Amino acid sequence: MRALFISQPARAYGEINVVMALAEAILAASGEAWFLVSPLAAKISAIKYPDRTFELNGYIFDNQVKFWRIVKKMRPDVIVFSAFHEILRPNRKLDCPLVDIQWLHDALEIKTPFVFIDFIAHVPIMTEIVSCDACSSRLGGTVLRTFLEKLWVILPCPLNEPARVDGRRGLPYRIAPLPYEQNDIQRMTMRSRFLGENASSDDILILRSGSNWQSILAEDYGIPLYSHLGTLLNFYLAGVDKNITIVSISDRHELIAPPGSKLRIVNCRNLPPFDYEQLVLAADLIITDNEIGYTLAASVGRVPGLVLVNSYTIEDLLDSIKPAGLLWKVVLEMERQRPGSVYPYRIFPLLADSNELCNKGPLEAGQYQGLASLVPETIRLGRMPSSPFYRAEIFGGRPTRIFLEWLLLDPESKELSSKLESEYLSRLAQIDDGVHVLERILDLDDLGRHTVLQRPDR
Amino acid sequence: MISAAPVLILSPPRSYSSLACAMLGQHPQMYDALETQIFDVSDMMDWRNRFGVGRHDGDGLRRLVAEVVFGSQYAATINRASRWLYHRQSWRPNEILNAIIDKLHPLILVEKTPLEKGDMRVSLENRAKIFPMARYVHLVRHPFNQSRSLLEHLNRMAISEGATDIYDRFARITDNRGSRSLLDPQHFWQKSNSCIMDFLSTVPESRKIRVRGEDLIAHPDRTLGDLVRHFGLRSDTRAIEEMKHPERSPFAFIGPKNASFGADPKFLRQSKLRSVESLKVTLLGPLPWREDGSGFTEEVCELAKTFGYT
Repeated sequence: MRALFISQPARAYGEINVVMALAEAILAASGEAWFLVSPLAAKISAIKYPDRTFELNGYIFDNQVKFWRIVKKMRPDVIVFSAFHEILRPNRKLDCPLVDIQWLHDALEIKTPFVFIDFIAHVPIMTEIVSCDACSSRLGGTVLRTFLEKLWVILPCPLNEPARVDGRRGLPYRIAPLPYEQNDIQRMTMRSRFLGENASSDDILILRSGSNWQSILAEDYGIPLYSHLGTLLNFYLAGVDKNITIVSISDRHELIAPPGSKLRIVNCRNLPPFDYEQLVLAADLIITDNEIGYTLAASVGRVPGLVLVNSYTIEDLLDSIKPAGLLWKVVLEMERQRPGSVYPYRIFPLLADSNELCNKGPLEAGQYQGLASLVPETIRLGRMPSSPFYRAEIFGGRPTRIFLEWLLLDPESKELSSKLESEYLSRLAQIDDGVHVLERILDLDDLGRHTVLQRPDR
Repeated sequence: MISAAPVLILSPPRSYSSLACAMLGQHPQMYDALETQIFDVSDMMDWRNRFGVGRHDGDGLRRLVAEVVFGSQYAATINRASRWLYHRQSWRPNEILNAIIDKLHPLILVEKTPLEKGDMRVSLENRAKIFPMARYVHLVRHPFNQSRSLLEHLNRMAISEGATDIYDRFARITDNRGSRSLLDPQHFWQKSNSCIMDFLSTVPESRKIRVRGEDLIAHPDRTLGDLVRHFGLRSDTRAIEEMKHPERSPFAFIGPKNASFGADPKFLRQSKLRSVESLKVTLLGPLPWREDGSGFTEEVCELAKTFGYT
C-alpha cells in the first residue's frame, strides 16, 4: 500500500503523532508512506523520515501544486487527511491551506480514495456545517457534498471508543498494540534522566503535559494560568511525603515552583516522539489539561492520567474557597492580571459550552466525590466513549489534594485504574489495526455508512 | 529547511542523457529536470538573450518552471513560466535553480544539460560554483554510436524550424586537420569526455560515478542499483523498479507549441525503456562518415578503452 498523509494543523503535535503511528505500520508492512504536512508537524516527521516529508506553507496555490506533484510522482493508493474538518470551518483562516473548489473538483476526478482520520468526533460537526448552505457554498456546495460522500472516516483508538457506537460514522482502528511496551532498562534510563542517578524507587515522577495549541491560545487570550500552575501543583502535592519531580513539557512556557517548595520541576522543550513516549510510560502519573490529547492515549494501560478542569465561574469560586488562602490569592491574581481569565473549561483554554457547565452549585468542603472523579466513559462533549482517565478540579482545594494523594499513594487507585483500563484494552484488542482498515477501504466498495456523508443511494 | 544538492549528469550530447535523467528522476528521492542551459550564463538576462522565447534550447527551463511552480505544462502555464523567468532577469542561475530546488524539497533535482556550447571547462566550473556539494554522474556512450547519433541529429536539426546555433554545432564536430574539412564527431567526443574527467578529478569519489549508457539500458537493475547506492540513496527493489519507468517523468512528452522540447525529441516521443538491440560496434576499422576511410584516432581509442569499450 502506498499512502500519502496530509496533516495541516500548524499549532498541534498530537495529530502527527497519530499519523506517524499509522504510517509506520504501513512501512512495516512493506508499504510506502509520504507526509505533506505543516511546518510544525514536519519537525516531527522529518526526524525519522526526512526524505518522505514535504512541507506545506501559507500559500494555497503552492500547496496545491505540491500536492498534485506528489500524487503524480508517488501514485498513492490512498490519501489520508488528519484534519479535514478544519477546512470546513467558515471563519477559520488556515495556516496551511490546501482545499478550495477547484481542488475538490480535481480530487473527484482521481480514483484514489480519500480518508479522514477523525480524532475526536468531528464528523457530526462537519455534517452540521455542510447542511448549512451559506457555510458550504464557499466550497461549491454540491461538489463539497459529493466529495464528503466519498471521504472515508477512520477512528483512531484510543481517542475513540473501539466498540460499536450507534449512529457513529467511521471505522475504528487500533493506533498501536497497547499498552505500549517498555522494558526495565528503558524505564530506569528515563527515570534516571529526570529523577537523577541517585533516585530511590520510591521517588515519584509526574509528567505534566499540554498541547502546543493550548499554549498558543492561552498566550493569544492572555490567560496566565500556566504562570500559576507550579504554585497550584505544589499546593496539591504538599501532603505527599515523597520526593516528587514534575517534568513539564512545553516549547512555549515553563512551570515555576514557588520559593521554598520541595517540589522539583524540570522544564523541558518538546522531545523526539520516541523519547516522549518513553517518558510517558516511565512516569507514575500524567497530569494534563487536554483530555483529547495524544498523551493520554499513549499512557493507556500503563500510567494513570489526570485531567485538570475548572467547572466554576470566578464568582462561585470566590464564594466558596477560603478567603486569603492560597487558592483565593491565585484566582484573584489571575483575574487581576487578565480580567475574565477564570472561567469554566473542560479542555483549557476552550470555554465550556452549556452542556459542560457544572450545576453543582458552590463548592463545599469535603465534597470529594463531585470534584474529583473517575471518568471512564466520556470524551469530547459526551459524544464518544473513550479510554479511562481521572478528572479533578484545578481550583478544587482540599478535595483535589486528597484525590491526588489517593492517586499517588493508595494501592486501591492502581487496582481501580488497572481494572477499567483492562476492560478498555480488551475492547481495543478486538478491532483491526490501521493498515487492515485501510486495506478494507481499498478492497471493499460497500462501506457507504463510513463516509462523512451518507451516499444518496443508501 | 536545507535542500539537498542536486545530481548533475555530465555528458556530451547524444549520450542517453535524456533517458538517464528521466530514469533517475523516477527514484522516490529524486526529481528529473530537462536541459536548463543555465550553467553557461552570467544571469537570467543573459539566459533570456540566448534561450528566450522562440528558441527551443530554452524549452527545458520553461517547462521545468511551468511544472514545478505552476503545476502543469499547458501553453498558458508555459507563458506564466516565461513571465516568471522574465521577472527574474536580474537573478543569477543559482538563485533560479535554488528556487526550484526549494519547491521540490526533499526531492533531489537531477539535471542533464549536455556539454556542448561555449567553454566546457568554464561550464563545469560554474556547476561546481553554484552547487559545491553537487553529485555527478559522468554518462558515457561508445564513441561510434555517439558520433553517428550526433551526425544524424544535426542533419535532422538542419532541416527543422527553430534550431539555433546550427552552424556552430556543425563547426564543433568538423575535423580541419587534413587537406579537406570533414564532419567527424570523434574529437568532440574525446574533448568533452576528457574535459569532464579533468573536472571530476578534483571531486571526491563519494560524489561522482561513471555510468555507461549502454549498461543503463541493458542491465538497469545492476547499473541503477550501483548508482543510487554510491550516492547513499534508497536501493531497494521498489526504488529500482520505479526508475525503470522513465515514461512516468512529468516531462516525457512533447510539450506545447511554446515549449515543445528540452530533451532529445526522440526520447520525448518514445520514452519507455526498451531493450534496444545492441549493434555490434567496435573501435576498430574505418568510420562510415569519413570519406577518407580512416578510423578512430589512438587518443579516442585509448579513452574509450578506459570506459570499457572495445
